[in-house]
Amino acid sequence: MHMRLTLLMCLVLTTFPLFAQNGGSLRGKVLVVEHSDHSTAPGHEGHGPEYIGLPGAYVRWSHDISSTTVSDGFGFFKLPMANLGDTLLVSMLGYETAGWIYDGSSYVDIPLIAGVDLGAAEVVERKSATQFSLLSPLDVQSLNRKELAKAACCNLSEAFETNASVDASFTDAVTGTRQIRMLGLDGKYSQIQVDNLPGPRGLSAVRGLLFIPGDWVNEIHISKGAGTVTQGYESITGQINVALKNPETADPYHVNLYVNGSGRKEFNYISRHDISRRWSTAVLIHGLHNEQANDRNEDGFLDTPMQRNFVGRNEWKFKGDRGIRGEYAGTYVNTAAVAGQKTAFDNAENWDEMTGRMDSLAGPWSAVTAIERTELSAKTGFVFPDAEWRTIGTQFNYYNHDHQQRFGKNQYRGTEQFFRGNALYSDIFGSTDRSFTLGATYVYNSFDESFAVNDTLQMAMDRTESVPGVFFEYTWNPNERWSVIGGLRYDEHNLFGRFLSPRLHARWSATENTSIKVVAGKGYRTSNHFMEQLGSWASQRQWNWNVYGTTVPEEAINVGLNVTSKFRLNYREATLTLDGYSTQFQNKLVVDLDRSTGAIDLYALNGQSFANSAQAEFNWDVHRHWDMRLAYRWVNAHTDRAFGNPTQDPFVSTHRAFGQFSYASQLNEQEGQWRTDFTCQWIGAQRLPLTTENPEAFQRPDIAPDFFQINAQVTRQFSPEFSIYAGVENALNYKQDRPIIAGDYDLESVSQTDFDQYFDASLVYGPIFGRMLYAGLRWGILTPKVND
Amino acid sequence: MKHLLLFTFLATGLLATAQKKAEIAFQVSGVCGMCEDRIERALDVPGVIMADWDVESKKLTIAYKTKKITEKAIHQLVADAGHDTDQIKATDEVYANIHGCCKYRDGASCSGDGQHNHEEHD
Repeated sequence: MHMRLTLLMCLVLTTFPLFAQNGGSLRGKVLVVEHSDHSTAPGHEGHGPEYIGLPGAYVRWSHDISSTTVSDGFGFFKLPMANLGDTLLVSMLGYETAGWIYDGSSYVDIPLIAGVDLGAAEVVERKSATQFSLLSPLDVQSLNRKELAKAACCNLSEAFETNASVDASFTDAVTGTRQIRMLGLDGKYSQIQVDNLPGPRGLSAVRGLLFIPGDWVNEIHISKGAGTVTQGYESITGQINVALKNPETADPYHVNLYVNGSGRKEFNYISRHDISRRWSTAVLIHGLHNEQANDRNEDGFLDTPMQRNFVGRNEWKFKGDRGIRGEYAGTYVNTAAVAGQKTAFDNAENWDEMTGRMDSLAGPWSAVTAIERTELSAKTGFVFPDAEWRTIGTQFNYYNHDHQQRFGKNQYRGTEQFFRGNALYSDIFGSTDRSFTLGATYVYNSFDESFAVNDTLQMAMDRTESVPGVFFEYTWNPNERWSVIGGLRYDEHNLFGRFLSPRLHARWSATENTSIKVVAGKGYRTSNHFMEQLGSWASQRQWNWNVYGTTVPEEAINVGLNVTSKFRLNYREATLTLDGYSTQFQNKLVVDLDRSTGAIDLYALNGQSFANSAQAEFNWDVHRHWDMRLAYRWVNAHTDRAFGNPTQDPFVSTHRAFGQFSYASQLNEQEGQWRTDFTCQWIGAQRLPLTTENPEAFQRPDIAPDFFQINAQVTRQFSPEFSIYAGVENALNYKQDRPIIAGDYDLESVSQTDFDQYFDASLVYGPIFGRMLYAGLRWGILTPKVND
Repeated sequence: MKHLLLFTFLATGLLATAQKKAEIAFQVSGVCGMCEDRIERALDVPGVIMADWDVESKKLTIAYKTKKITEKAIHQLVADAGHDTDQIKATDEVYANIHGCCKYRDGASCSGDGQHNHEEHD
């Protein structure tokens, strides 16, 4: 996806004939041009293009295949001299092939533009920094490491706090997860990918975000609207592709330590090793530990879960001489968490005893979760040496997910196996202005879930999905002003029949600095309600599934329009982005929390469901050292519910506004720097599920109040190798009023009968923990850089 | 509330424009992205609003506050960093200290002899 950032750009060739003629050979360097359109570290980065050597590119004279050579580790190459007027061809998987007419010089720089062809099959990642692309027909926003470092995000669910396009809900006290939302709809309607492969989905749709440590992330690419067909039928509101640090992008060594006021301690270790000329590897380790029992609002419930997480990953990269590239990775996740009433753990001796209470139904209310997950992936790409635009790529991906939990008297065990094989072939029709990707996918996904209340089995469900599919995507750039990507995919689902997903992206540049993009597409998904409504487990609600109809695959059409304009304001760069999106559901699994405070009803949509959203975002590089971003987004999301219950979707704020101000000092001699980031957001009123049938003490307002969130962070970089940071989240110490229904809030203590009937900790619209301080450090050894 | 925020920042912008400003462009010798960094960093001084050196055209575009800094001082800053402008040449001492691959007077190129890695770190 991110390879499309500079997609369809007219090839710009620049040459620097700098060496005098030396006969014999032509030398040169293959470069990637990185336009720092929006400098995320003011005063630090330059404002023009940056050139980075590109290793592994093919270079040859067009008339002589035998002259083919490959650029070295820094992008340099050397070829025998040819005649004036001969054409030099430079190509690389994932980049547009460049041609250069030999003009007699002995040295040449060849910049390559990230490519038309390989959004999906690409296995090389070399893009960064760009925030909004004027040229890609996709509405893609990229967050690089600097942007991510603005908030000390611990995992992916927390990485979007400084982003206006993705809303992050607030952590409930029990699960510790933050649901994300795009275009007004739950994160499950967005396709979240890790390195272009399926990421959090299925049973891990919500929890899975916790398994992606923020420190591992190299870049995040957010594209709104239906995504590319090459990655499946699942994307409805957008695609979030997380590019992890890999053997190419990771620093040789990197260590991060983090600690916060809720007692959370995190450790991240990343290293990269070159094993041979062709093989390199990266090791990533993440550990999280929190056994502090927090109850600041004194309601008898822990404000944050106690947890221990371990995530480990090892990735191998192969870079062959004959056009073969490969990426092979394995990931292992092991996590355990406990939460609930503080008294439930008073008598626990140690961690193992707490997490071992999967079957202890008696006593105070508590929740225990244990997850184990293994992932394997393999991506292999091949470029034809005699036709650089022709590539073949395969992606294989497998995971096994085991989730076990007990919330109060409700027990759940779910296991999932997933396999996907994806093969892609890219080529052109005559010229690189017309390229296509064609491929086939096979997905196998099996679920085995069981659900018991009070030791009585309520449901045991097996589901096996087996879905072969084919797709075709055509990219057309008639000229600089226009580019169009049209895609169509057809999948045959063993349980739900045929899925036909058409997708269209078009970009028109009204002027050099203003582009208009249109996106339209259809997407499908199958749901796993127990895990997607994870938060609802923290309540006494009874699960009623399929009560008013049969569950069907969810199906929706999304259309959107985006206008991006870049201009100078007071001589400094500024970007204004306006967009509007609309999602209409044809089929949806409605989650109804309104019918009764004692139930969670799930049923197929009868009527209509839609989400309309609009957003304005303004970025301005105010001063050499200052940056600012202002954003506002509006959402109107409705779903017809049974019995005429309110149609407005709960927990969605209609208005949200956001301002971020960043400062970065001048770099000193050691490249040390001070950086500060200040973020203020206003979260408008949200509808809460009805609680009117409860006794007064257990009622909550129908509309949650609006509130402000202020986060601030200071980073002291002593050198590029070492920096420390400290910050505060929720500086105003805003706390949701009485977040737990039937929690102990200065009332006479709640009777067990009332608790059993009314307890609900899932109605979370704001922060529970209040102000939180954190601090951390980052230390690393960087790639050696030759200095003067 | 958002209106208030917006207003505050528009107001800040307007105040800033009340001062006298000029935009000029001139040629500066240099070779590569590393030179660009050096040139632009040298101009990270009070009075300079924006400085942008283009690797291809070797043109430096600069906006500044005329009351705070003079055109001559800008040329001097660039020359002090080791890059010749069309008005002031860098001294040989300063020039001698810039990176080998940036030695524009000696016909250097970004490539050097293949030993230099220009990869930027973030």
